[in-house]
Amino acid sequence: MANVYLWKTDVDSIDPEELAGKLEPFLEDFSKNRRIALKMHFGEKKKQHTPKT
Amino acid sequence: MRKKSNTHLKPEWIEPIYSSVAEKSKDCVLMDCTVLYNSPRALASSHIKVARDNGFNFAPIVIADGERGREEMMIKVDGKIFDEVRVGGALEDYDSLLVVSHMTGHLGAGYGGALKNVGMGLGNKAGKMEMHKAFRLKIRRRECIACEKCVEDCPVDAIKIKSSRIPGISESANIDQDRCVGCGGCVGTCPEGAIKIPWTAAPRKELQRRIAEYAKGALKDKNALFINFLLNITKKCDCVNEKQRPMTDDIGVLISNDPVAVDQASLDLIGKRTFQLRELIDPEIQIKHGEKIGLGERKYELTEL
Ligand code: SF4
Ligand code: SF4
Repeated sequence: MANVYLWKTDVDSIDPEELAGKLEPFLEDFSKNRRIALKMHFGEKKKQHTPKT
Repeated sequence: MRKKSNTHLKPEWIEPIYSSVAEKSKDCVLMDCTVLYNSPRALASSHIKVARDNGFNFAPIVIADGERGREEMMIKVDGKIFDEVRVGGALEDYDSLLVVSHMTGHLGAGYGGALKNVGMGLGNKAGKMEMHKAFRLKIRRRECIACEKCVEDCPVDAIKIKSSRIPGISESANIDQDRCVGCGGCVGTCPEGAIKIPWTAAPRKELQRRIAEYAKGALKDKNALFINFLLNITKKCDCVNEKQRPMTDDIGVLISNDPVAVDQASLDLIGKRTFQLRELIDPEIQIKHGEKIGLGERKYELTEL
């Protein structure tokens, strides 16, 4: 059986440093001496607002 | 004007995770591949610009399939559909993948989580074409301005400008389907967005299975960890061209070393019916197929941190 860990939070109260702290025990072993690609989705292009003249 | 989605993962959530990993590792980069459709993310240079503009300024960024999405490594998979998959070539330089995913609904794949992020996300353009079974691109003649950009870009000279019989259009581009090798490059090259992908060529169930097999390839022989953000859970993925409202309450952040289990747990927590409301597509197909091909387990134990 696999293990899955949940840290309950929401967008208004998420503290990124606290999140990294929660993840630290997992990242410790995972990261040591490795060459790591952090697979992301960076979002889409934001449209520039051009004021009408 | 419709507002752009702003529900993608926030750079300020990712930066401390990146710093922690970078500190311990030999090398750490942020990675994605080019997209298949016509968007600034279709080219590596403009994809990186989008990432920087969206605040991902704290780390090197690698677009693994290169400027035009053609750099690849072929990976053997013992799949039910594919023997081999085509992923971004730069993946070869990394022995580990930290897969950071935003759980959302997805119109084609039922949902987007870890499996889709790594499977669809790390396929190069030709790989994405294969997953979508998009083997016959179409050029909308009325939108083509015969600028020849696609002609110059095609690596196998499959595109020619020909005279047109459509009234008011003297000439337009044509694809020789027998020559086309399905690299997908021309789609993003066309400034008019005139080259269309047959998105529905792969039935949705099959698309999900194809994604799972690509995920298996991208993860082969890699040390991997999966973080799913169940925040700002929207009906459609982060690529859509519209501002979206979350469709359910925030749940939190999941972590696991099993991509099947982390997606299963995410769906269980959100409730798969949430994503199924109007899309009559079972979002669990990806997960079930992932388990079948040995990517991970659907059974899991959930522990609160
Ligand atoms: S998808 Fe086909 S037509 Fe388009 S650039 Fe690639 S080989 Fe040429
Ligand atoms: S790049 Fe687009 S507009 Fe230009 S010739 Fe090709 S299909 Fe037509």
